[in-house]
Amino acid sequence: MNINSQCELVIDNLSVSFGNFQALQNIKLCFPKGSLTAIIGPNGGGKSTLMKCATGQIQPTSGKISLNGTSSDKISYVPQKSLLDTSFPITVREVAAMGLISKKNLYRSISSDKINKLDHTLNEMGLFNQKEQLVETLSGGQFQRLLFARLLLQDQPLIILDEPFSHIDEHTKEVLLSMIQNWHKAGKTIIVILHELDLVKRFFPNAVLLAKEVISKGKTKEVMSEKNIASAFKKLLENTA
Amino acid sequence: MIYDFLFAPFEYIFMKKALIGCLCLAISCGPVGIFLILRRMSLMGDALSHSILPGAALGYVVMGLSLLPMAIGGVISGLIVAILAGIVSRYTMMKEEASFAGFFLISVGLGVLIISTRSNSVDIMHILFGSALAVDKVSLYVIATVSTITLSILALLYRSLIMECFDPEYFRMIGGKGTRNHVVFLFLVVLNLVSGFQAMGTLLSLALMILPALAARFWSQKLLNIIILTTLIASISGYAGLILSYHLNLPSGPAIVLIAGVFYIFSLFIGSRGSVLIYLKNRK
Repeated sequence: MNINSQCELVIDNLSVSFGNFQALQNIKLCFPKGSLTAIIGPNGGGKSTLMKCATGQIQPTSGKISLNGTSSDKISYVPQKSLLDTSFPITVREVAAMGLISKKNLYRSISSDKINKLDHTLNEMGLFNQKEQLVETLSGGQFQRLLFARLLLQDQPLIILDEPFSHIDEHTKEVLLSMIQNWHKAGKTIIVILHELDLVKRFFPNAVLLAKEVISKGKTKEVMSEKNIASAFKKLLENTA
Repeated sequence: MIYDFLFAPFEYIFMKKALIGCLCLAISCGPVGIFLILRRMSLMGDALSHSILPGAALGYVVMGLSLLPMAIGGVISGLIVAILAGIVSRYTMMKEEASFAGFFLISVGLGVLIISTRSNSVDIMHILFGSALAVDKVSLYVIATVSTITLSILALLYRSLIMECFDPEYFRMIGGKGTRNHVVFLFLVVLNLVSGFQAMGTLLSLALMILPALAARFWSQKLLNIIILTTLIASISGYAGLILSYHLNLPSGPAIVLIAGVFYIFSLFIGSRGSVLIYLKNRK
């Protein structure tokens, strides 16, 4: 059996550069179906760039990305909160409803079944009473729950989360972590960019350590050895110099 | 007395045409203005409004003071500037907003040069600042057609424009065409600027898009309400500007803009959200 057929996402010899700046170099990774992986590494190590390549937002300079027979619109993705315009006059319900919209129905009305599903999901995420509120009125935790509600409505086999726990309270963090674990149990492939190393150790069985190149990959405990972490920082400094 | 002041002027056919023209402009410029602000393109809109000048001037030199040739010329020169600015920002280190600034300054120079070769000061004033009172039947058709096209395209793109403004990464990921949206939206801005310059002039046609939209942002939180309010403010500005212009013998374009400006300043100080008044209340 081809090893790639066991992978939900394959990154093959991928390099990305912006002008003279090399952001990623010869990345080779396979994210097996149903796996739960944390991507860690120092700032500027190319974690978000790698995921933007996977979601089709950045074209790699060389190499390729293959999704298991699907296209990038089959990925559920939560970007960094800082990249969203939270002052935009849009309601909680409208943001969640984006999860029901794909390329196919971008210009069509949303069916009543899906609208019921939307209300049910908002209720599940504890946002039903806020559904007509503007997103600018939400707390950091509520906003992140809203992005997870959108993710739930997308209901895709591959989930990518970019720093989902920054600027949120401990309670919301626990709720979202338990959701991630439930999705993992349900067989979804999940990739999470994280800075909180204690969370990675506690909840993520697999990890990838990235510093413009793959420093280490595999079981979290092995990847997060002191030697590997030191090597990541050293590599980043060498590559930046 | 009230009738004489508020309604009697519209017994004249030229005032009726001017009012219909202004209302059609308000219906279409309002929503375009809101999206200009939400896409953080207000100043780019200003650059575009200047970019239509050389085309309009060329239309005037060749065909005289007639809206259709001037409008066609304006659309062509506006689109050339938009496309050139887009190409420069894509293939060089220059950002789109800065490259727009470069091209619009060249456009203004070129436009004024073309007008000055064959015109008198009255014509120059008309092209730069417009006259709603001179709106004729052809102009009305052009304005109404542009309004219909604008509202139809905005209705079609409404959802994708909102998604793209709020979360561009997500929009691209689900297969949304951000570049196409941007090009179509720039086209709508140029069309509306051209449609408005008979009444407002090339230098002021952006005002009916931006000022009502800015004012409306201080009163409502929901996008649909903001759009409706913007259209209402633009319509009232058009009507009140024409009344002022008629009774005080003022140029209509600047009168309409100043009324919209009063709405903006008023909203800035006492609007129900984010205004100076709210700031002062929260400080107490």
